[in-house]
Amino acid sequence: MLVARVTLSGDKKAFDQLTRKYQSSIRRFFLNLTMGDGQLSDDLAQETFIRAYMNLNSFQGISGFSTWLFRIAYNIFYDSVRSRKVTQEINESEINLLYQQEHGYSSEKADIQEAMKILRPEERTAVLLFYMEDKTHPEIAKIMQCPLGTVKTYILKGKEKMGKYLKNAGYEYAGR
Amino acid sequence: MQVMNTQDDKILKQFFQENKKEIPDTFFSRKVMQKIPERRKYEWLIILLAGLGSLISFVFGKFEIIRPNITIPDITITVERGIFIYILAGIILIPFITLFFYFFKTDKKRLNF
Repeated sequence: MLVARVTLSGDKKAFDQLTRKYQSSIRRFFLNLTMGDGQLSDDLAQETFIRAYMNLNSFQGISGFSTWLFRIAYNIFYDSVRSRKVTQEINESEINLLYQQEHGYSSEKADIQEAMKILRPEERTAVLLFYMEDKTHPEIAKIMQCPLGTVKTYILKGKEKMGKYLKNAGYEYAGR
Repeated sequence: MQVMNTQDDKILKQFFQENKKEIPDTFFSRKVMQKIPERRKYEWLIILLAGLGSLISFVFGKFEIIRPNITIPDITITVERGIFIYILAGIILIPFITLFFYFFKTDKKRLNF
């Protein structure tokens, strides 16, 4: 309903409501992708909402608005990585080294930013979308614009790495 | 292997849900709204230009249909008529060029979603 109001009449108040509704999840997504860089996350989130407003005519409602918004966010993040090189991307060898040092985790408490570092960028994105933002596999495939099988592989690999990391960091499952 | 996967799955679900924090708005949406450009005004300008171009084309086109009947063909008039046709062709192209850029721009922005 809100989306239709913005699309049909350019209703800014309706878009303001949409922004309030989704700002938390989009900013959180960026915050985790940028390893906790709050300022950069907010800049990227602002860009996401502005681009969404400018492109609302192209939203056809096939997928949910949230999925569409995350796809814009994903594109903006990787455009930013490619053009500005602002994030501290860890290269493959560093990731592998970190991953191989299974007993080297010194922190007593598992920290989400540290946990994110052991994943490759694609794995990180897929894992965040699946476990934190509760997106389904097909939705993640649309957001990341890659085949469903690839998404499943990213999540599986990410899950294995993070599972080991968390266990080594002393994190325990509370339920049964 | 399957058991381990399920265990990892549970651990990860719990870990991420524990770390899932709601971020308060604190003027974020206001900043976004201040930066949003006037999208609609620009679109109306394009449609207005396309309409204006179409109207001019129609008026001049109609005149051109009548004109050959009232003109006595000689060398001087033929040259004038030639220039007139070029001008007319240019005017007729206005709505098409405007619409082309409008749709080209829209297509470029489209996210196919």
